[in-house]
Amino acid sequence: MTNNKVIKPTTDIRQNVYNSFIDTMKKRQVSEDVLNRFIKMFEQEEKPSIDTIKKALFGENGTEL
Amino acid sequence: MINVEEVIIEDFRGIRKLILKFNGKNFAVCGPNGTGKSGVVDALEFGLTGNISRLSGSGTGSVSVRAHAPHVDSRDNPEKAKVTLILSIPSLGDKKVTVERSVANPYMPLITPATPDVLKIFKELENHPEFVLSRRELIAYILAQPGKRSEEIQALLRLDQIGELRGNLKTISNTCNKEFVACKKISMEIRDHLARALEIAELKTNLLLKAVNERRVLLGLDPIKTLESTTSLHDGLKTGSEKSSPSKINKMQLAVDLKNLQELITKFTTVDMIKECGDLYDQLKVLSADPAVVDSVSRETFLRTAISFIAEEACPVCGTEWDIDTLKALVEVKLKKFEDVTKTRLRLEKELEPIISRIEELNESMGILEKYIKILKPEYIVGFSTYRNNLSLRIKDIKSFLPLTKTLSSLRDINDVPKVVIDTIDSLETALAKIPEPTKLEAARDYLILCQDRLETYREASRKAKRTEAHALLAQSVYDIYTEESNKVLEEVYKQVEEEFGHFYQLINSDDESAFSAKLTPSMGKLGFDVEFYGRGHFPPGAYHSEGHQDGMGLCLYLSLMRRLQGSNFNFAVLDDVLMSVDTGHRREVCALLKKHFPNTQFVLTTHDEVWLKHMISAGLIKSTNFVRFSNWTPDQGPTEWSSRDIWTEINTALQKNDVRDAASILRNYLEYISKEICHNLRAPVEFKGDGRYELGDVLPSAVKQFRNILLKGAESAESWGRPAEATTIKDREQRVAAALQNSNADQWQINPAIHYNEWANLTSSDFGPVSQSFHDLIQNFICEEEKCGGLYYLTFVSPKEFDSLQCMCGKTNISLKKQNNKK
Repeated sequence: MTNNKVIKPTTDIRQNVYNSFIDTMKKRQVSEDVLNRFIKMFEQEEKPSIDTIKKALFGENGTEL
Repeated sequence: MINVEEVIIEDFRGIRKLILKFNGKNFAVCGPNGTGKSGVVDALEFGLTGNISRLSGSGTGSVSVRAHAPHVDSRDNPEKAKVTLILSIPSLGDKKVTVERSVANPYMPLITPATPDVLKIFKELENHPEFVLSRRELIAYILAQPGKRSEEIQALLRLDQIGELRGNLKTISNTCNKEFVACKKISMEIRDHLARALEIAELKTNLLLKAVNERRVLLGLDPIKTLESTTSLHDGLKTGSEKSSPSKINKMQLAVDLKNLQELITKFTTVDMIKECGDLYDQLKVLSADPAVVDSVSRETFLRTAISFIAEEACPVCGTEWDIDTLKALVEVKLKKFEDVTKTRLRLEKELEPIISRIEELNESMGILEKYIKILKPEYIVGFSTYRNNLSLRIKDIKSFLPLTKTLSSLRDINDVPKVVIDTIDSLETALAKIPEPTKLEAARDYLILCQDRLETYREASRKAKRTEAHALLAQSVYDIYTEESNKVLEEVYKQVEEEFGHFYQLINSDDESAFSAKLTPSMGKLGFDVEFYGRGHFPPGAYHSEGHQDGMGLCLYLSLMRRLQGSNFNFAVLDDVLMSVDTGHRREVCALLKKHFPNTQFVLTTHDEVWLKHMISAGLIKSTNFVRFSNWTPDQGPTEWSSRDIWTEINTALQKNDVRDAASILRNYLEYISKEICHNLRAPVEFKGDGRYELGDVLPSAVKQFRNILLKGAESAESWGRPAEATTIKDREQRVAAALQNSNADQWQINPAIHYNEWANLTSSDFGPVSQSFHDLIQNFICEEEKCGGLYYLTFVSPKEFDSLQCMCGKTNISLKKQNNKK
């Protein structure tokens, strides 16, 4: 029966998305700096702004690659 | 998260003072529209979260909680408007908590005890106002556009951050891409400038080195063998002053740039070019003379611009998500109406392209000469630059195409180059002639310095283009990965929701849609939702299903989403007038669904439909004491409670007031209703009536007869299986029903005259009391005696015509009706 299934709380669903995203970035060889910045962003921000995401992508000054 | 034991509402919405005891169980609020049901819903939401959804958020205009939550007569005293809730918290061992919240300070409730674990629960509640579900919201999930549905459902599941992050990544990716395209264009322009300075036809390393090394050899410098990213073309020029102080004017370069401009002007003013521009001007003029055509062109342009913006998943203006394919198809249908206009417009735009290109070349070439003019002939710079700025504006207007009047105005006399420009060029020529011819060595030195300067500019532009390209690629790649992975996870979540939704819907429509299935299809921020329709395929829910079925779907989707959202913490839900269009047969199944599959969820249900309330009670979803019925409402008194007691208490109260007519009316109505329910549950045969109006005499005898037959079958079955004691117990039960029937039959005549013949005046309370009691005794035989159950007995089937057992909802009664095969 469906009500016997293990139910995952929503926060886990979101965490699952973030984890799969990071794992796949690793597999696709996205640079470690970018990965670390995204991990840090997910730890610190529940709703990251565009600026925060840009910093995660390109570094603090937007020039790192 | 919580169960509500009691709610005390004071001077709040339409309620003066009302105390409702839920006792942590399901509770119903019934009453006609406008009797105060929503006030109870608002009070529950306010008590738990400090907010009232229907008074806040979009579409509520100037209405607000602070101004309009208090009773209208207490609008200036928001501190008087308050809600007190006595709660129990299952996750904290049913800890009892009281919360008192006033409209004056909605977010500063008085919580007792205010321990950290309790406060954490309240924080969660404030973040999960979706425990209140209205019919409007329920239908929104079902009939929403895919993009909107995705947004609503993700918001409900608190997964909106997932969608938001995807949207932000897309925005960044688009921005990076645009930046890259712009940088690339600039880089290519600078490349052309470099090639011109180098005096080579094409920027190729071998050509560059050949041209540069010729000058270097002249200057006695070593030729450059390979061109690296840091190679300096003038490397070896000895003194700093030599490097940094080229002649102010490079005569040779000026000559090249001047010649370039003169040639462009000549091409721009040939007879053919003038004719070409004139013809286009005339065609546009004809087009602009017809207002209908102008209007069509404008509309066509608007629609075509719209299509170009449908490349993204959301409106670039307001951010509303849309279904790309649907919207594109819609706009394309509209565009089809302007087919002729489109053709004309496209042809004219194509014909304008070479003219625009010429003007752009001219404009750019003039830009290069401006710096020479500033040095050699500054008196001409204003007139020259004014024309150049004018050209820039014309280019913009012609490129825009609309409004046509502007394009026409910009195209008119476009080939007329003003005298000031010709004079400037002439004076520059004169000035050029006066510049002393550089020696070969000077020319070579100037050449190297100028080319190195342009090479540096090109290198920087090229680096920037590469950097922006890398940004664009990274942003696109991260966006793709994120979209792919979030879709994967969400697909899994939606798959679970889809499965559970389909299962719930099957349960409430087992009679005709037992093979029902649904498809929730997430893609690019949208959530498609199709449901199976009687084996004919999957269609949107609003396509073929009735409103009643859509209501059922909405509830099932809500329940499956809430279970996904809160899991075992889904302990409380308010269903505000949902399922209003679900038909009678399916409501029984809805009750069974809620009762059986959500045993740990306390439902508060509001309805204006008495029959629906009775269904809830007879199915055991609501205990016979756990409801309130409002009959009327006035601003002074608030809702008038008809009764929150059970039917027999109501009858006794009426009799205590010597109101036999009222008591008889209640009894008669109740008996008719409950008899129909019993007939349905037991599949009792009833003589068919075309108008569907079955009276007590039509249904009660049939119900009792069927019940007795079933009990006798049960006794036979028990005997066939060698269980004589059980058989005796069942037979005794049948005898009790027979006795109760006899008692009630003897007095039945008194009910009819009391209702139909106005003979109630001839009866007294003491005459009617035993009548009521006899029916009470009879009806109790059909109801499970377990307090937590209290539901009517019902049959289960092996096949549509073969009974399997007689059961109650809690399982205490389970009488098998199948005999052992060899003992027929």
